[in-house]
Amino acid sequence: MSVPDPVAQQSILASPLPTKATLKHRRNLFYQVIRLAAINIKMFRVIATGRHL
Amino acid sequence: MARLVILGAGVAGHTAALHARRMLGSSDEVLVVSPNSNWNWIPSNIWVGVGKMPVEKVIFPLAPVYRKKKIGFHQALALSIHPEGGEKHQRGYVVAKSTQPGSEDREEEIEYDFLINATGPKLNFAATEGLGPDSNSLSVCTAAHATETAKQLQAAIARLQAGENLRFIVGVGHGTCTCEGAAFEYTFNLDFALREAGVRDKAEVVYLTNEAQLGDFGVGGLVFTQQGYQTTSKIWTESFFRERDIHAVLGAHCTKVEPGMVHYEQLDGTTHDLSFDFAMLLPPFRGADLKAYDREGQDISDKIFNPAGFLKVDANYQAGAYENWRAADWPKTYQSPLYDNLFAAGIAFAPPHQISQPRTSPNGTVITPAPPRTGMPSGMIAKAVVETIVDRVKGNGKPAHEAPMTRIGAACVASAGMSFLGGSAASMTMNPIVPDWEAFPTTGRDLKGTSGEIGLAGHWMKHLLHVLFLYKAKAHPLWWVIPE
Ligand SMILES: Cc1cc2nc3c(=O)[nH]c(=O)nc-3n(C[C@H](O)[C@H](O)[C@H](O)COP(=O)(O)OP(=O)(O)OC[C@H]3O[C@@H](n4cnc5c(N)ncnc54)[C@H](O)[C@@H]3O)c2cc1C
Repeated sequence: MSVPDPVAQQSILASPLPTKATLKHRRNLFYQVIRLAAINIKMFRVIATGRHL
Repeated sequence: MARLVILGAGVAGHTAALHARRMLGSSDEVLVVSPNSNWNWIPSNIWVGVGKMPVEKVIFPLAPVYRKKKIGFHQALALSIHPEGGEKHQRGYVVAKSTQPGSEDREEEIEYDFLINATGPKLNFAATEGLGPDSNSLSVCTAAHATETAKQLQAAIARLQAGENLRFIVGVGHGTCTCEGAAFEYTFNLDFALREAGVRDKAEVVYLTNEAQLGDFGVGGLVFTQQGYQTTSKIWTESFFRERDIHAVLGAHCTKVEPGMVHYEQLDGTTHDLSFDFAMLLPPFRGADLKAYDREGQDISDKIFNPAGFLKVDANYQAGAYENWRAADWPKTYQSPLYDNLFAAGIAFAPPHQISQPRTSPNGTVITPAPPRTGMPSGMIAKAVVETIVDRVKGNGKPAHEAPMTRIGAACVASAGMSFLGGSAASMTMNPIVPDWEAFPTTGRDLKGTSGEIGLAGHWMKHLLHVLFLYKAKAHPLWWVIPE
């Protein structure tokens, strides 16, 4: 199939493809609850350290 | 007794109004001038635009909130600022034209002691011939645009279900656009909607962007740590494109959009045409069409605003070439250098330059993302400006509060599909937003505060933000506990 920007496509195709395990982790409810907590912590750290004066 | 007038009731203006009312005394007045009767949580327009959320869930009427909070509300479009007052006015004043049904076009002059310009972007569809929902492409920038886009998407899905093969182009409609993050979100939500409808194999999805590399997002890309390695947002984003089989056109400046055909130039100077069956292309932004006049009525717009119509503040606008750019160029207090009671917040302030490296095609066409000013910095800047004004009203002699984008961070959750159990989003943090190469010589940002991950948790987070920010904007009890 021809693509509109072959250079961009070449770069996309050279990037790593997630494994089945990674894709599963991204949907696993138990693991994602933990990640939700982790994302919240990261965001609060950004808010706290980047506070305006 | 002081009067604070705020132009605009978007993320920055509304945040400023609520905080000002909370912090100022009851004898001080807070007045908002804004043309729309509704508040819109713009980030969720993406979900409206793929038909996953009804429009009523992203808007609510402002008047009852302002009544409850004793904030004055003029449903009007500001036309001009007169910072030195005039014949009939000792104080600075604003001329605004009513947009209230029944009294349209009535002009009023509103005096102020302090003025915050939070008029956000003007959606500049006119910059590219044929761009925009009144011409040949779709948009999700407003709730109404998103509603129409969802309708068109349903029609396209019906055609796919009938067996046709279609091409969808999503991206930006000009070489100097910002908001690549929103285009990215719409691309992946579209992909998700097509998969849900069981027609993804019949559709080609193309992301058309002015970014020179995927993952630039107008902030020059990110470097973050993942599983013990430093990786880039380029590799990370490309991987996501590969996984979802989305094509990309990089470094593109749309020159014209015709029915079913987009014309563009790329950074190497070549020109191309690409046919489409559905195109959602975001416009470039300008400042609102505001004029400014001195006491004698002389037009001083070019002194107060930059050529794109954004308000000049305490930034260094003389930085020149990319090599000379410094973190210190970025504004800290958002105060006009000419009038110390005039401020800008959110997209309305004039940035000193881009964040991404500027690029020009051999034909001289500038193809570089403009600097994004997303919701979080817009809110934080608004709050800092209000704190400065409150200090001045109270006369406590404190220095102006600062919220430079070289010191504040941002959290961005880019939705990639809306479903409680099957959705996902790319959650990113960056600290600071504008790289500071002196403070962080290796990557420009603090690696501890810069991150990216994809997963269902990101979708939950995005939904949580939707609920929390609407709660906050409606000024429900303890709204101010929710950070900007
Ligand atoms: C589709 C889309 C998705 C986005 N998603 C995200 C996201 O996920 N996360 C994020 O952080 N950011 C996101 N953003 C960016 C975010 O919406 C902006 O950062 C934010 O709205 C900027 O706030 P603002 O107050 O400067 O402008 P706005 O929110 O646009 O508000 C401007 C206000 O000024 C009013 N106004 C205009 N002209 C005048 C005038 N002449 N007189 C008086 N009032 C006037 C307007 O009516 C409006 O009320 C997204 C943007 C888009 C377009």
